[in-house]
Amino acid sequence: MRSPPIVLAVLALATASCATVPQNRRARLADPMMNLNDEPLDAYRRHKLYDTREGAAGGDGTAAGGGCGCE
Amino acid sequence: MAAAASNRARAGPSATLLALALGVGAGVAAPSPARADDAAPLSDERILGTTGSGLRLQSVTMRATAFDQYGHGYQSQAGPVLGPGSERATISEGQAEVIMKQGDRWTHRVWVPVDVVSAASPDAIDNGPRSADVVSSASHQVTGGTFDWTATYKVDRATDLSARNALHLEQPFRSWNTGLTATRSFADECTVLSAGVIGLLDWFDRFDVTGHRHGETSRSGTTGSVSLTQVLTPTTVANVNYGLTVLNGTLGNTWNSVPLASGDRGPELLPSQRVRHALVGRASQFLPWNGALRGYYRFYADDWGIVAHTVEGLLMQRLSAAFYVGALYRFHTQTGATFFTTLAPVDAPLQVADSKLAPLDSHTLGGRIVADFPVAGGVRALHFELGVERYYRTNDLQMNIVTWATGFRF
Amino acid sequence: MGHRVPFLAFLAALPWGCAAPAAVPAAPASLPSAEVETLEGVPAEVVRAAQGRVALVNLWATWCDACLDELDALNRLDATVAPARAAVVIGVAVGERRETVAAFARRRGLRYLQLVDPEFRFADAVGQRSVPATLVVDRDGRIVYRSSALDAGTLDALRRAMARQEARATP
Repeated sequence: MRSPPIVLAVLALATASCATVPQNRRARLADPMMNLNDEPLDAYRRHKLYDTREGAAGGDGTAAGGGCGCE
Repeated sequence: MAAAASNRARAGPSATLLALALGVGAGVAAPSPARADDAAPLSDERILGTTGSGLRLQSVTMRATAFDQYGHGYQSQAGPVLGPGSERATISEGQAEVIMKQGDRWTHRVWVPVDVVSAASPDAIDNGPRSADVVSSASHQVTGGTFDWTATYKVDRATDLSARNALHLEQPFRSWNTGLTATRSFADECTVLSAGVIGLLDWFDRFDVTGHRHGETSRSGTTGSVSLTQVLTPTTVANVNYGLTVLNGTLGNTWNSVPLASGDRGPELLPSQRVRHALVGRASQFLPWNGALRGYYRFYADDWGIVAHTVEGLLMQRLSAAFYVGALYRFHTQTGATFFTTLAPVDAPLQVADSKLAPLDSHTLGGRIVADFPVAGGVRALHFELGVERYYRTNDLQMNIVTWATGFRF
Repeated sequence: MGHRVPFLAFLAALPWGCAAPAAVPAAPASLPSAEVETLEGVPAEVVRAAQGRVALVNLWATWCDACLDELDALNRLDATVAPARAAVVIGVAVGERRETVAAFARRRGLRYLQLVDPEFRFADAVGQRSVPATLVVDRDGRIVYRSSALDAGTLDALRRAMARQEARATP
């Protein structure tokens, strides 16, 4: 695996990561717009879309495989 | 109301004779006398409510989605013998999710998605003159459903353990997966580290490219993943995730075909193992004008020769306390499997014409409107969402998606 | 392939470097005299609002789900102790706009005293960096109990503080 740009992002994250933000200052982070992930049912819907149409989908923590019928 | 409360506070201290009513002994050292007396006004049960081990409903969410797909792929026989066949398909999908708390430590999530699929590719086999069997009634319409249950146990304030089990049933296909995840937060929940493993077992009917059934076949998969989420600033949060998946067994649809140089069609010939790596980075930034920007990048590589990059941006804008809108763009690019072909030599050891394993780019454009209405009484909030997306793949595939969700928070 | 293992080791080690708690404000033994405001915008202090009574002070925020889970219990507690002036329940909304809290309190029917701490002055002075947080304060303004949740332990501490108050008031 060649060094992808994500490594640089991780390094940037690492250098900043020890600046603790008090929990009571996280009002903005609690906004639903700030969710890093889609709402689970929407995530499944998108997983279904990409998993059967792009050979590179999956493999990142979601169950691999799936039904045959929708290809 | 607030003024009344203020007035009450200004009324001044007043020594009371409430001790008896509260069930409080006069002795200062008396160890929590009221807890033993549930009839007292200040008892735990009266103030805190029921804290037993029964199930308490937290949320119910339902989502309905319609997918409408057009396009062509060389694996499909719904077309010329050596040309790409139709990949026309429609999918109607309903999902229901119920989340319940049990006692102070357990949370249960029960999720049931159901897909109704009608696809042209298996239809073509079923309707062909050589078809001695059918690809089950899947060729016309297949209904697949999953029962998925996740139980999460809160070990302590910072640690959660989750166990997940799911059973998927589809006419020619059965699947079971099980997983374990451990999550630990650090530094006042500024950092959350998660690690998990998922095992998967699929059994399905083996149909050949002419629709003949040859018993059953199977595949298995194991995915391990680690994830790190970090609060970076009061308005920024980021996550990195790495997943490794190893698949073994029959790794394709057995009725998918490959155009051959001989002028006929043959079966896919695939390796019996696939090792996949995926590294994902995500970040969300709150914007000063009451909006948010979410960025996503994914790098993927596997031992079939596919290397992929995916980027996605979701820009959201809050219109009011209840409403926000979002606009999505996603770009995906991938190389093809080394053995992908649209015309295979007759003696190729490996061959596949499945359009999803081809070199391709794809674009997704979408929009959504979301509403969360706070409600007084038994239901705390109502959630509504409407989303539309247009998916376009450079090797002749397009899809329109409409999705609608309704949720209740208790 | 060569650098994949060290990279993953680096990822795995990352949170431990951050596990050490950042500087936590010193937790005072008594209620500090930090300025907050009422829902009408009048400057106030939590210690003055308690007016020499035993107080249960709940630091909360409208965006915090765990805080919202406690609101009904706080209403019930207030309804129990307020009529006889045995104790006072005080909600302190931290980092919030007064208008937001007022609208929320009206909609949710919060009947106990609400104060607003928009600049975190009280929260920082009392050494609380999380919501929800619950303090039990005796009639002398001493913080006798701290908890991250309104639970049986909190009620226990409140009953004890009220019993001590009652014992002192009884000749």
